[in-house]
Amino acid sequence: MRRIWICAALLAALGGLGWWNQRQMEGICGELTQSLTLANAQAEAGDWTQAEKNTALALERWESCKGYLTAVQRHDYADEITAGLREALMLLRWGEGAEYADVNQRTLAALEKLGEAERLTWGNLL
Amino acid sequence: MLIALLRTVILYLLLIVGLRLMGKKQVGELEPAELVMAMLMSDLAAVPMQDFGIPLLYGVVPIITLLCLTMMLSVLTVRSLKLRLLLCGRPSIVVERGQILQKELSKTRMSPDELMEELRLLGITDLASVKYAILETSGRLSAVLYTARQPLTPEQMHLDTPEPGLPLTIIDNGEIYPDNLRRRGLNRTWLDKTLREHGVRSARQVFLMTVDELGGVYFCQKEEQA
Repeated sequence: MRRIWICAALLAALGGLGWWNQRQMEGICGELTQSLTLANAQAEAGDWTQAEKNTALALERWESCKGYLTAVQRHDYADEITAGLREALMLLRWGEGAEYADVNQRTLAALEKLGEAERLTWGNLL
Repeated sequence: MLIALLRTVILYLLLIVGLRLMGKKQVGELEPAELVMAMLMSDLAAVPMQDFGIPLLYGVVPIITLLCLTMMLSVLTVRSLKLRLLLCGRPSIVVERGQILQKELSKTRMSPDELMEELRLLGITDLASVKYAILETSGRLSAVLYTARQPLTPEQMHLDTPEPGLPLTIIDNGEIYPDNLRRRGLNRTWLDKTLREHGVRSARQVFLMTVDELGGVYFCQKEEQA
């Protein structure tokens, strides 16, 4: 009987870890989406400095989770977002508004995909 | 991660049900749960091993999940008869008193040819000599012969036969096993004498030498030395 309890505990721990990971990913992706949406609005309003600052903060936040993301996400997904954030930052510095908006939208879509991939839904399960 | 865990549980249970429905013939020597485990484990380990873009956890989480499920099921099947019947099924009697039980045989999806083949593998050619043939849950066939058709034993003939017991390896490919030598109550002097009797000077010239409980020696010299 002890073996069953150990296995059940292990499965519960994995389930708990999975649930925590889902929340964590939602948190990170939600936070970044908020920053990038705000930066996009600021860029549209012509406030390039604030847009750049918010995008830089988003990149910093993303890179601070790099170890965690490498352990739990497909590496190409995480790399796509890193590249998108860096490109957006460069375009903001150069003042390329139209291209920035395009890259920012792509990064936002990638973030949404990443957050959704971990969500416990029938769609993902099936 | 949570999705990987749940998907593993679903696929594992699905494969077990599938194998149970396929019947005993397909299982081979493993129980359905063990077979599913063997089928899935190697693939799961291979994916993150080959593709460095996939986190190790994508392989580790399903493997731990499978190990836990298999362990739980194996403990539960020992404890619960109902679950054992559900997961492993029950043995089917396919031959009774020399007669093939056709309904049971067709239920197990075994043809008469296959039945005869399995019996031949057990050394039985005459179906009339079989009292019972049982297709076990592991997919193997076992047979019980009529007493009159069973091989005669020394006991039935009231013969006193020596019991040589388990032969222990004394020399394996030129290497002496001193523990086994001691266990048989022998020593190096006896070994040297026995080797001389077999026409060899050193243990290095011996491929295999065993001694049973009655002191019976099996001796095989290395081919290149012969």
